[in-house]
Amino acid sequence: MAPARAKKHLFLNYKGGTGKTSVSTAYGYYLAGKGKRVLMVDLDAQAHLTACLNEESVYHEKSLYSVIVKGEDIRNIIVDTSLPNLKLVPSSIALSSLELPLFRMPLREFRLRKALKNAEREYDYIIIDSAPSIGLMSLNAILASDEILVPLLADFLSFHGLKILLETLASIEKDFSYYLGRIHIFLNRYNPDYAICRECEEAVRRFYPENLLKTVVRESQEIMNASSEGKSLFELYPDSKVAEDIKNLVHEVNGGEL
Amino acid sequence: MKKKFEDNVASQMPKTKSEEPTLPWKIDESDLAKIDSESQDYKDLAQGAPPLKTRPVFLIALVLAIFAAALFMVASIAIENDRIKIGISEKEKEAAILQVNLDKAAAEKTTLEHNASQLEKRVNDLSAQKELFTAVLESLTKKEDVIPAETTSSQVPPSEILPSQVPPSEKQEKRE
Repeated sequence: MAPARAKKHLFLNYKGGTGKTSVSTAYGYYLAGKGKRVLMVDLDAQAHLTACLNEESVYHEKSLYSVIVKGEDIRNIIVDTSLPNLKLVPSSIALSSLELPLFRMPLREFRLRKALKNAEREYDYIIIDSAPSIGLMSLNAILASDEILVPLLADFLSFHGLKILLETLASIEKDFSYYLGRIHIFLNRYNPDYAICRECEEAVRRFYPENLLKTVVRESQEIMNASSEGKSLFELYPDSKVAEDIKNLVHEVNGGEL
Repeated sequence: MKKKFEDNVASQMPKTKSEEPTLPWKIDESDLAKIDSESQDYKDLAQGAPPLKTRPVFLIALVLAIFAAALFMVASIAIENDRIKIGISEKEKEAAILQVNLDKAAAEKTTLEHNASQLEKRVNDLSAQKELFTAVLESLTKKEDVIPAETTSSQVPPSEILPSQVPPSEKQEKRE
């Protein structure tokens, strides 16, 4: 019997600075720590996920560019990390020039999905960290994923950005006749002392009740420190509140499958 | 003025797979594989040989196809032309038949008019004859009333008129 395909989870928000990379890194680390085979995919040309996993200084001859444009096998560009069952598809600034050749390719919106097919039988989870932009690579990521996680800062501008994101996802479904997987919205860097945070939480609960996760990732320094050190949050601060939040997040998204 | 959250709610929500209908047009993995293999086949074909120079068969087939298409077009035009000509001649025939029928009808009408005028003349003649006969009959009727009174008074003496010879008018006068 063929091994099961990996579950592809995408961390997506067109607004920058919402914590996609920090949370997706911690998310991937936790799953790997639970014994799952995890592949992290960095789609951001800023390569922040790559930096969080301490691979930014390493020169990689091949990148997603060769995979997407030239049809190279994605397994040829996967690199190891500090954890044995946590692998990475690294990014670099070269990724910023990917959209132009991609634009002229057939099935240009499905190239990433096709590329991941080569690897999805070898992993339990593929975690994709997308760039904060509405572009062809972002569209590739959306159409490649099974579930979408939207980290949301608890303020008005993020709430407005969420409106744009959800409407864009709705139009993608319509344009491609393709129904997306579940969409999970969770509040990140939440501070209950701020009235605006409480108002935002109330608004999300009121208008998007089916998509809002109960778990809230609170504001913390630990997750920022872990990102800056390129190490796992669970290695540096295993008993922190934010570590607990990430665990709850993983369990809430995956339910009893974990 | 503070912005309101309720004014910034998404007007459309993605339906997600929970509401996905089971319709045949959904993009399938096999559809993607098929499109991709066709794309790959084309790539392989394009990569192998330089275009046109070493493919005389394709060139000849192309030229023949163009020639056949041109021939087909000319033949179609010629057939269409003949069909139109036949159509025109048939229409002309029908027009000639209609013209003949029209002429016949006109001649018939002239004959009928002539007959009608003749009949009218005859009717007038007969009417005139009728009037004449009527006048004659009237005049004859008047003469019968007048002539028997003149004949008895001038020709036969009164003493010799037998009772049977007395005209009824005189008999009647006597009786009175």
